[in-house]
Amino acid sequence: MTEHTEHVSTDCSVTSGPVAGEVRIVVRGTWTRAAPVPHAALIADNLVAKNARSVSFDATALAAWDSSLPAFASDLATRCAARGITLDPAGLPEGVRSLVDLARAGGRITPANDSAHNDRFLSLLGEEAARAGGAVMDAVTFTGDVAWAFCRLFRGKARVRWCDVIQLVRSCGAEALPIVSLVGVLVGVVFAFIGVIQLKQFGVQMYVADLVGVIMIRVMGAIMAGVVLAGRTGSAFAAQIGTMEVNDELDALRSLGISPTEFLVVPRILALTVMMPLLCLYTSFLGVCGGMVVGVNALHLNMTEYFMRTRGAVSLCDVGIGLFESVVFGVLVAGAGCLCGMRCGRSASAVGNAATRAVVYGIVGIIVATAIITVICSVLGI
Amino acid sequence: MTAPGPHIRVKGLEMGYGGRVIMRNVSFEVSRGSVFVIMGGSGCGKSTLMRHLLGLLPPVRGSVEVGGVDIWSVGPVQRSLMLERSGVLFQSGALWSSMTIGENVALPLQEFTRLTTGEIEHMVSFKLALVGLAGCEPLYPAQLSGGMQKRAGLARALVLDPEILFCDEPSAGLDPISARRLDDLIATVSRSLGTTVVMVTHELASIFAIGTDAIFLDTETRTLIAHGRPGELRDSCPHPAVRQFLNGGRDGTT
Repeated sequence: MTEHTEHVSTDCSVTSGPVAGEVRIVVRGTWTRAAPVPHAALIADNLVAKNARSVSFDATALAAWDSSLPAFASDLATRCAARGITLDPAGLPEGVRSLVDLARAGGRITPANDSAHNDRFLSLLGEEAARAGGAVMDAVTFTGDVAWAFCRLFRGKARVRWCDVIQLVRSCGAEALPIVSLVGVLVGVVFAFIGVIQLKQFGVQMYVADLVGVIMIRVMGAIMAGVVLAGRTGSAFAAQIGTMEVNDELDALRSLGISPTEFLVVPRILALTVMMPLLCLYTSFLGVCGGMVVGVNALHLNMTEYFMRTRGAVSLCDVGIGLFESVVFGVLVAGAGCLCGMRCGRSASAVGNAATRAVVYGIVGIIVATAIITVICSVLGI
Repeated sequence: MTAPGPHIRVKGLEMGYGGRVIMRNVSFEVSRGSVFVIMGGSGCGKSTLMRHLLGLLPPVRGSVEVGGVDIWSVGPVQRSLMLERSGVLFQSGALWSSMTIGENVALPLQEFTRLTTGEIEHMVSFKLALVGLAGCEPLYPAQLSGGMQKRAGLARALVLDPEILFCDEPSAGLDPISARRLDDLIATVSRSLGTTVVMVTHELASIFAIGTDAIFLDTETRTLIAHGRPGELRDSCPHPAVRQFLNGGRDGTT
């Protein structure tokens, strides 16, 4: 096909009429999205330059139009009104006129000015601070709610569905085993490899068993189990509870006088607090096994020897600290997940944000708690 | 239980979230056994008003009395006892998605009654049969259509034989036949059990079919502007906005 199809042009010219101040705008050609259309601002400036007082349209040579033409006309009408020029749309096609009328009839909606929005640095800082303060208050209120719910649980007054707890124990414990196993073994292998390289410089590479044993059982078993569960279970808690909020399911509970904290949060915290120490022991054990694989292959120690060294190096106190940390992590991860879920907004994207926040809070909580516990232990000398 | 006087009395209620006022100076009474309709344009705070009546949201100002007792002057324990005596049908059904329909309907019975498992099963199947969902106990909410979810929600709301049934837009999003069936169901339940029904809706068909009393919340003035029988409001309300609303958007100036 050659280029000589009908020439598509979008044209608009401004001509002065016989009477001074009367101006005619001639629209010609094809006014569609396919071609750029003239900008109303330029035409309005042109009108002002011609000292126009009243403007009419001539659309006899108009070939085709879509929303571009009414958009142009409506924009021009607004600009003319602002400059005190009367605009007579009679020359435009009927459809264009009615669309322009429709667009201009609605008036403008000024969004309700809830919080006088201000972009200045200080006010932004203040808003941020207020938001952060609100988040802290939320966390404190939530902690109080949960503590109160546990009090009621121990006094036998809380409404907790034990079948939910068992179901949650299964989903956050047993179903997490494959991924926890993988992570545990690999962390053990990595520590052993790095340990062997470093210890070789001093010729004491057999201490790798002590190193891997202590580090896995005292700290890393709990941390790795905690991080995996923060990503796997904490986010799931937030998403589940958040979706329930979006769906009015939490209101349905409240309307029956059932506390969502007792009904949803307590079983989750219980389940994770019970399962986390078990998963921690399991991860630590697999980490030691991973270290053993490296030790046996790289150092040619035999398995019994490696095992005996580990047993000699790890005290019961190390096991205790690991278990204590894992209990703390269980509470933190489950608490962060449930808090983010309960404070979720009422939209689909809010659920996604809640799940993300749950993971972040969970992992940050784990790291901070580890640091605090490690410092306390070293001060106490255990 | 049938003390004289209105069932629900709202006095000078001001509603709002976090410093933003949605409605102010809302006062009305709901008499026992009536089907009370809360009307108003979209976004005027109908659902918020219902949350206030339910005791889910404390009023900024004013009081909400149920059976002569201000629900925010009593402690949380007593308030939750009062909440047990009302059933709620939420807009989306709000069935607990991790439980089957049977478990959803059974939960209030398990929590608030001392019925045996067998008795609960019996009661659940009766309530599901009432709403035309007999045999749906083992299904999960996601396996039901929207209309069926609402009916299951109604069965759950009715399971404790509430004195007040709150419905948030029961027929929204349903085809006309399902909507009509749900309306009839609500009206029949209200008549046979003497339940007071408080319904938020803007479906004209529902309002005229089953509403015995209605209020209109106005977005412009942010308050309650009309109270009366729906038919009378349509024909002789002094506010043109109310007449226009009840005439299906036509001016209603005739």
